[in-house]
Amino acid sequence: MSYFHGETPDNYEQKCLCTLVLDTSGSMSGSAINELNRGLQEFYAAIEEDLIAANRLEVSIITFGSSIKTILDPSLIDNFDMPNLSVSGTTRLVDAVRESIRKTEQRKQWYKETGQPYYRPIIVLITDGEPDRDQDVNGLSTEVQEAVDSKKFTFWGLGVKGFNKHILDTVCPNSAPGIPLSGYKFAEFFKWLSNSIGIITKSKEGESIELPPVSDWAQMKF
Amino acid sequence: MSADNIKSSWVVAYASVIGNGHVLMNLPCQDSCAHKKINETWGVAVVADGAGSAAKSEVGSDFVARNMAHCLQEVVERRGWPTAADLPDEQDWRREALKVLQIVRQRLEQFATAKEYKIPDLACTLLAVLYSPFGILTAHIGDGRAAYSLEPGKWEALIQPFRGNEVNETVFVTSNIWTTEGVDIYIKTGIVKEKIRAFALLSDGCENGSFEVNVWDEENQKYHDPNRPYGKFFEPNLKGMLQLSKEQKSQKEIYSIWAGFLKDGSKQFKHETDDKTMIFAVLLP
Repeated sequence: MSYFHGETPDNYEQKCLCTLVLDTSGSMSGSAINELNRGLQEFYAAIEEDLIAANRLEVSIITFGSSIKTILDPSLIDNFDMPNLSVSGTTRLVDAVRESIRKTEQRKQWYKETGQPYYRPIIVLITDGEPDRDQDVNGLSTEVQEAVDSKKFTFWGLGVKGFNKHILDTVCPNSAPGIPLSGYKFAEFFKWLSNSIGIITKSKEGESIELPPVSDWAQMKF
Repeated sequence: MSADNIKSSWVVAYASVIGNGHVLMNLPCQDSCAHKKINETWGVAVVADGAGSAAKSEVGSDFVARNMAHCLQEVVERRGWPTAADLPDEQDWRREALKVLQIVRQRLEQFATAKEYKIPDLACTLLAVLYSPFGILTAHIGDGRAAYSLEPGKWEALIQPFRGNEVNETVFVTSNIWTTEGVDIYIKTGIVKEKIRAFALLSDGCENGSFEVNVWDEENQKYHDPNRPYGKFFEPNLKGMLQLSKEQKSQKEIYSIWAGFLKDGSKQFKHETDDKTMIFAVLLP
């Protein structure tokens, strides 16, 4: 017998922005891009299945090769189909991350103006290569570190086979160095990402949100 | 959680259940709650929500909930307050509550030292009430929600949760708030001196399922948090509580039924990722 029949109020879901900054340069051709596309589809399916995440998570996708493309502006899962990415060109990594920072700030401003409560946005960089020579890696490193320190967003960097660890670690904040992906386990990574978003945890004032434990998609434990 | 052996004019349900996200990530339930019937007039109820970012917050929340309940019980045993006329004024209650909170915080520090935990690893919020048929005294640090009702169909918020700029920011018992200024800003106390028919305390994992917390404000054309207990949630469930009492369910049976309800008794509860705690107390007519 059921004793409790109270109704549920209509609350709008708080928003969580996750921007994926994805390397689609020529070196990602073959297995890397195929597995990344498969991982993105699984990410989509996992979020779609989760009622709370589907109403909470706004996904944005920026790709970089020789040019920076905003493939997807921040959208709830019901409002877009996951694109199938293709590769070409060089690696304008720094420009792409800067674009993601700009767009993240823009979205936060919109949340504030419309009174929508929001979680700390997440930017996820996935790359397999070295940035073009004209890319200001050190300048970006300072920008990311300062932004993470002042709690503007959380930044995670994922290195795909062949990536330059030194450069990825330079771009990533000290609190969350680059993570090497084991093989092309994008699907496992995106499963972890969707779970993590589902439980975005409370953080103390002035304290960064801690990464939930990674599982078998990372090459090393930390 | 505590045993309830004393005869009381209240029926009380309380439970903490793990959220789906914690199950998926192999994390423990970091919420805790405690409840005690102190005597035939007074009871104490406490909810503590462990910080997801703290390594042993489930230990901290359990410790804080149990110790807070125990310390508040001692206050009632010392002060009595047997009738409405004896209730303290706001300042008197705040002094008592701050003393108790400092004792709990000190005990937590001693516990951390003894067990070799770092104090931030035990971070949790705290929401506590002493209740009687003629009044309710509150003390809280951080987020969570609380509601009370004086007459059928009417529910009011008992506390205002503290939130930072982001949804997932709040303060904890372990935060650096124990300064003169910090105590004023972050530690809240209050009294309702009325004939209360029911009240509820809940962690933030239950708020979307029982409070209006993010709704569209037509006049100002933006979303806002009215912190409004949802009558259509609480009133029918109050009837359910009375039915449980009518059927003379034991506290253990009530716990089991209530935990089941919090686990998946509504669409929102079923899909909630965060841990869920609610203490729901109803005065028997």
